[in-house]
Amino acid sequence: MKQRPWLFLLPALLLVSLSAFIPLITVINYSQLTILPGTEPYFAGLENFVAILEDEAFQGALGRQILFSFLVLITEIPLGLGLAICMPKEGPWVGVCLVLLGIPLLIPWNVVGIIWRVFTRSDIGVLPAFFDWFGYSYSISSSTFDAWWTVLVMDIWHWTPLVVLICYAGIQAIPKEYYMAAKIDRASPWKTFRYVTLPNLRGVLIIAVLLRLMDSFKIYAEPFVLTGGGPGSSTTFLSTYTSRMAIGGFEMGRGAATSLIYFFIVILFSFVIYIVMLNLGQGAGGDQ
Amino acid sequence: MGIRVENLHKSFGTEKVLDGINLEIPDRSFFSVVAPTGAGKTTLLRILAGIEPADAGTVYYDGQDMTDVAVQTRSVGMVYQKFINYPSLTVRENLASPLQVSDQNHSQEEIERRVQETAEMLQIDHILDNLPEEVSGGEAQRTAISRALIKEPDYLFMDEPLANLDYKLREGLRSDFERLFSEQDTTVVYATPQAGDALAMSTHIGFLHDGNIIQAAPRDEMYFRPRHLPVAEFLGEPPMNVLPATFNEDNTGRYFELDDGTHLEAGSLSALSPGTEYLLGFRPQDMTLTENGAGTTIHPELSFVETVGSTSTLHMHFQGKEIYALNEDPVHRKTGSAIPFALDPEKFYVYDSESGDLVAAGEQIPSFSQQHSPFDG
Repeated sequence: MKQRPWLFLLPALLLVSLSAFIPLITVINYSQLTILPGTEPYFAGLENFVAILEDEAFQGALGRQILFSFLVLITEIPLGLGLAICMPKEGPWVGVCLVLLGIPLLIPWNVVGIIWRVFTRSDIGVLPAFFDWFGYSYSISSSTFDAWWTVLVMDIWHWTPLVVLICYAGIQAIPKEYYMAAKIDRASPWKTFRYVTLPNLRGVLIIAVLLRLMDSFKIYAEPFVLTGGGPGSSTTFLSTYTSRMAIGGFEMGRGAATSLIYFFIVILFSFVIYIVMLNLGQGAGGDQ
Repeated sequence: MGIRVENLHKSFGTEKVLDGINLEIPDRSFFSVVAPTGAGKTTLLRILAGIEPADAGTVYYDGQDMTDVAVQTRSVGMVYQKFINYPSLTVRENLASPLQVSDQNHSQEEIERRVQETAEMLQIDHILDNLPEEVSGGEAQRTAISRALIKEPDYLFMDEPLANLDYKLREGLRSDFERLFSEQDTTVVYATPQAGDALAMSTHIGFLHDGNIIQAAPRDEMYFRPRHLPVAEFLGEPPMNVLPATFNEDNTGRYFELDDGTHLEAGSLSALSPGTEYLLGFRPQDMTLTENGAGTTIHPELSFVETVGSTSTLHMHFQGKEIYALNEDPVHRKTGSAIPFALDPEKFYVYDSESGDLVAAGEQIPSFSQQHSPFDG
């Protein structure tokens, strides 16, 4: 009879193993093999991993990925938090703001890519025409810089609302008494933010940062549609690299190994950031 | 340094929360605003402190109109039901924070001395280096109270500060309050739905009912001379018993007739008109267990007995109403049995059945000279 709790967990366990665990094992298996079309797979050991880690294209993609995720976090988190603070806290405008913020989140990734692709087309696009006024020749297909910041702005446009919504919910949950107490203490707006809003939002911010970190690491469809990873490989991120390796290059073994490396990088980064944020601001009161 | 309130109004949407409040809070008093939950105590306190504006009306501190004085520049402290401390600062830093931002430049040594003093006064000096989330609820609330007290404010507002604490901590803080505020030069306004808290700590009590302070007076006067029925029914643990009764006088004497025909002697109660229905109030403490069913006796039916130590609270049914009696000795009776209680007419309160105003009070009840007393003659 002691085993009974397990019975209740069984369906969920089955589902999780089918949807996640078994594929993961399969990928681990593939990563050890060299699979070429038309031949029997043969055991390759860690060869695939070594080859990928030594691949300059992979190193480039990883570097771009880290830079991209870093830029995403340092823009979207403060921007989202700022917007959440500025949002009305009650009244009819709350609904309007929430709907407006929700719209980008409702659009599928590839559609977002297509929308921005139309924006940036050299013949009918808004952006090239706009920059033309200022005498700047904007071209997403030939300028690495233009391609980069366009992908970044697209991601900010698409995902900052999520950060806003998370932070807004967190702010609404802070008891008003904290602000009254700060007011009676004559705390300045900055100090109120620093010692009331920020510490009370810590848990919420950890969630927002982790979600955005993991999601930005997984970015695929938007740059794929918008730039196709170019010009050159300047907007090729880890996901693009992986899919090219596995599907485009017919190297399933390498693709599987890339996926695993990719997987561990995401876990590692998330873990480090989580630990850092958990300890951040604990007892940090000395700098007032 | 008292507070005077004139004709204060406040509505939220269509709901009138405060409807023309007039109130005088004496200097250095411990003034409890008592009312059931949701009656507007918090709103009243916030307006008095200056955190929230009133729709109409004026608040005076020490005779000075405070309407345009921002809360930041007032000498006030506030303690809330929730334990409000800066979460990322230690208890020590929390205590120091009101001093660090104040206009008077306090030296570092002075801040440290006052933090230490205040912490010792509220017995939290052993947790000064902890974060608020690491200390118990009682300690967190002591920290919040210290934060309010360290500025030595002229006015301290406390909004149900004991509500989120368990019984033992409540008792501890309650006695702390009595000790603390008898020594301080602070006028304390204390909101609570607990009649017991108010009666234990206050020097003065005001009762908030339907958006008005319907009675405000020194504590004992509030208890012994509740001028309106809601005050009588609320102030007291257990509450005052109230029964409808018709006053009559004939050749057998002056008496109240209850719904079941029982006659209760009216004693020397005056200013009553024969044939009129009144609401008759008597405190659970004033009911005496009796064996002979003489004169002024009722026979309520026992529901259950609550015994704390040697004192028993009897919960009983009488004429479809719940009534209570306190007995000094443990009571062992069967549930459902009728228990004879003698009532002393000289300890009766008689209320008008329409308006709920006090019409007469028994001679044995301590009296208070009051200039506006409605039963002065």
